[in-house]
Amino acid sequence: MDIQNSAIDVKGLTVSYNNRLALEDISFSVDKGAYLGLVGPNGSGKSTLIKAMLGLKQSSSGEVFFLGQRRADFREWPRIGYLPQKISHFNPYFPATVREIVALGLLSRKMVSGAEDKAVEDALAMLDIDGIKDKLIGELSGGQLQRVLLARAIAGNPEILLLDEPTTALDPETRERFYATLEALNRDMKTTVVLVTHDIGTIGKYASQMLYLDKKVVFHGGFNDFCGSGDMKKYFGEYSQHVICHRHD
Amino acid sequence: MIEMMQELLGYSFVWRGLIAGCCVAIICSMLGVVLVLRRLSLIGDGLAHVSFFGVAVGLLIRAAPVFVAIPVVMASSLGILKLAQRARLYGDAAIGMVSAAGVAGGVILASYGGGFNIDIFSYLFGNILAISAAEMYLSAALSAAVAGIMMYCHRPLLSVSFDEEFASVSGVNTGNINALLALLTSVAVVLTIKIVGMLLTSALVVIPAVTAIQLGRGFRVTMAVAAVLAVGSVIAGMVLSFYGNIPSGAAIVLVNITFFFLSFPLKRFGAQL
Repeated sequence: MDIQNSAIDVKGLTVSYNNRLALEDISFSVDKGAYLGLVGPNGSGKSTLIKAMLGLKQSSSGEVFFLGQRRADFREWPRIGYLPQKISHFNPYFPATVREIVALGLLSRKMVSGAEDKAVEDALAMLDIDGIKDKLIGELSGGQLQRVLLARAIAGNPEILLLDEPTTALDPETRERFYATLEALNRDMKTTVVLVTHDIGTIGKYASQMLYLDKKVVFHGGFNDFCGSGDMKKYFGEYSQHVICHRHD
Repeated sequence: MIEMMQELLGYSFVWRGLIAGCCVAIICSMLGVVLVLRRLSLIGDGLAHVSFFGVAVGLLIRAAPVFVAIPVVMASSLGILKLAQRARLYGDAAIGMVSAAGVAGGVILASYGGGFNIDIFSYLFGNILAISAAEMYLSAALSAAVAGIMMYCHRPLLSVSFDEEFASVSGVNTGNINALLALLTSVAVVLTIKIVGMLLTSALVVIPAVTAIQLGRGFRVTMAVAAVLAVGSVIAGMVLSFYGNIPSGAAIVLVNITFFFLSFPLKRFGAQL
């Protein structure tokens, strides 16, 4: 494992709640510029893994490296963008504007005011939501809110983007646009994407690496290897091979 | 009306009350916006109860009660945070425990020092018209410091209030911001007890904030609206108190309640700021 050339390295990560193992001895790496699909059944520990990697949940053992640096020593947080599945304790009456929320993604960038305004405008324009920048956060639809949170995550041009089931509240059309934006970031900006999802069609379209989790790492490797593995039906059902691997058919 | 105001402003004790009241109202309302959005509205009430203990200690040892109450309430606010973390309690349970301990301690000290029972009543119900020059200067100086820190840290405060997990991932030390918020609230609460009294302190923290949240478009705008409403309530409350011969603290709170109910029709007719 070459830590210097990896975007993310996880070594022996174990997380437990009340003496019950939630994740056991997880080790994997994500190449710079890769698009990792993180999949697994409900309760397999996908969200826990993302949160433990970011230090939002305590791990009982193991280490995480971002861009070659141990997480405990890592101070360059603007290089990482994070989009949670949902905001815990979201308050729909929160009196903040879209512009104020997106600017929070630049908090530790220490930019001058003009440059910050431009970065916010660019992030909003990239996601086609510049028309709602003065709206209050509670005035947005579910799809608009999710794109605002993605804009907050990408405003600082992060090198790594971690997304935890970001499209659960979106309609199919908005979901497609959301994934197209992610793909553009991965392709054009070389942003490393880690996407937790149940949407196996999306995985088939965009992922270059796969991690199948069920409290332990069941599979980790390239997308082609995943498609070629005989366990595909066991993971996703009878017709999964066709749905997931169609771009390679 | 002008003659009335001229008469009112002719008294130095009115000036002192106005200056101290407005300064404290500004910081209480600014902090209130953050506390209400973080569902910590009751921390003002809890810390006001703890200040009862601090004031009782001050009166017992014959020191200035405010100077004793500030460190006591600051330590208690940090204790609430620790208790919530260590004992895995919800914040409101930790506030309830610490505030009950504060009142119990204050009552015991008051029973020992029977002679200061009358003094303690002025802290329970407040009397803005009895603010001394030293208290006015102290209120102005500490309020300027709290407001300055709030303005400097308003974005980390916004980030932690909106989404604590994201704030943590974007490099904000959420533990330090929570501690800072608790300490600033402690200072504001202690300064407020002479204005509206311990029993009504949380009103000056919560009500201008919830009214401003109805009307404000944007976090900074909402804080500014809350500050303007709070200052307006202190001025109107003092006028009511002086001419209506009613307790000043209660008058200020009633004006705030009136502003809150007026915000609904204003909002309905699109009067957002």
